Amino acid sequence: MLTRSQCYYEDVEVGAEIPRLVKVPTTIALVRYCAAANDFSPIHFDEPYARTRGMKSVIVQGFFKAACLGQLLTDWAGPKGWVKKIATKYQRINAPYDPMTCRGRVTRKYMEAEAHLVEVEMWLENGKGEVTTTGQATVLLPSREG
Amino acid sequence: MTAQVYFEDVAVGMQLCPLTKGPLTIKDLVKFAAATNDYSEIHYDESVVRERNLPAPVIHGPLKSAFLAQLLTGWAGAEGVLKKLTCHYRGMDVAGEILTCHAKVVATSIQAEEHLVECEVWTENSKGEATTRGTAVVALPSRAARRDPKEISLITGEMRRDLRLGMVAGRFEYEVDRKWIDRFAAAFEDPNPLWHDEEFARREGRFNALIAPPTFFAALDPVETKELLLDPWVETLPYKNTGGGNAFNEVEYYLPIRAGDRIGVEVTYTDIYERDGRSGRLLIRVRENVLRNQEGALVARARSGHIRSYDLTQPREA
Repeated sequence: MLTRSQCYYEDVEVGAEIPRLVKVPTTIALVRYCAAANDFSPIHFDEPYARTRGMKSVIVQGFFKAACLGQLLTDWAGPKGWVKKIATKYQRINAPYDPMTCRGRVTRKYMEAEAHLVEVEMWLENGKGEVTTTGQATVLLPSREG
Repeated sequence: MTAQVYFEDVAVGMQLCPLTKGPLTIKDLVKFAAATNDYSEIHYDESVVRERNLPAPVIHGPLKSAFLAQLLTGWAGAEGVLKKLTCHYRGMDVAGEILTCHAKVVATSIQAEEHLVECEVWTENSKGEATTRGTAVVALPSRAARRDPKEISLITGEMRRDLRLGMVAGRFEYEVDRKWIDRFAAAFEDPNPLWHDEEFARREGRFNALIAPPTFFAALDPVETKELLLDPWVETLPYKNTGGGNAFNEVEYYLPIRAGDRIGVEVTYTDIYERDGRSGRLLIRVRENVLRNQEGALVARARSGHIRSYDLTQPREA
């Protein structure tokens, strides 16, 4: 039976980094994302067009990077966790095939209206280790006490 | 004084309004001889002219160049500069002739921040012969580069009106099915069974249902999908576009998006503003999307900022 590990509120420590997630965006993935999101801006699949816009190659969608940061959170939070809020800012572009390392750190944990909440700051590094995207999230976690 | 011509007014292939000089008299030639200290007799002395079997005193080549320069500088106006003029004298013209000066734009370019127009130039005599041919380069002022960029504002009242700032600009509806969620998560290679495996999601998930990953709201955004396009003017501003894309996205969920939901999305533009950044002037539009499900329950509020950047010192590229 398929299972996934579950993260509990009690297990979370403020200041701790959550497990990293490395994603390598292929040009196929970018096109599949265009199709799945119905956003066909040519900068994401048309290389000659991208060059006319001064780029060396097509570029990764901001929302694609946000989706990877979302996966960072949901992989960590487990099936009973829920991403309540996610906010992302795109400072620099990412190119296909350049590995993107998604990282996050817990900045706060608190209870509100009986919900167990954790705040996470996130960032995405390109292959050179430069931060290209940053974000914040609020994740609802289950408690061991039920 | 005629109105100033700008780089943006020029198109390759256009011809300048011709300039006609003459009939040219011996007096005109003597004056030019004096001005240039060129006292060669063939330009005024009838006896030398006869001796050499010429029909009449010969018009100086450099005088024909000067006429072509007059055509170009007259056209370029007070702010234009004739950067280069090369002439070849291919046929002789003599006193009494009427010369028409022509120029045709063959190329335009921006080099080292100069807006350059290259012309083919020629003089034509009364027989229709092109007796002088040459090329010229003229630097013209640019409308885009003319003003101090700090004084330029990109935002107009029309833009604010088009965006219907503060009012619901559009309502759209999306049927979210299992296959769409599956396809969306597969696009960024997220194998989490919460998005792909209904049986797992029912058994293990917080919501006992197949749900969408956190950024699925991006697929339900009529601005991203261009179903709602209220800012077509970002394409036609008179400055060089240096980039564009999402600046930020934020979402807060009150309910998950589940497979089978029919999600209604209301878009409201809340702000348009500009600031200077790394790639020039940034024009930013901010919108809020409110997502409700088929029962009318609030699912999420999303906020997104879209940037388009411009180099205010360069004109828009064709």
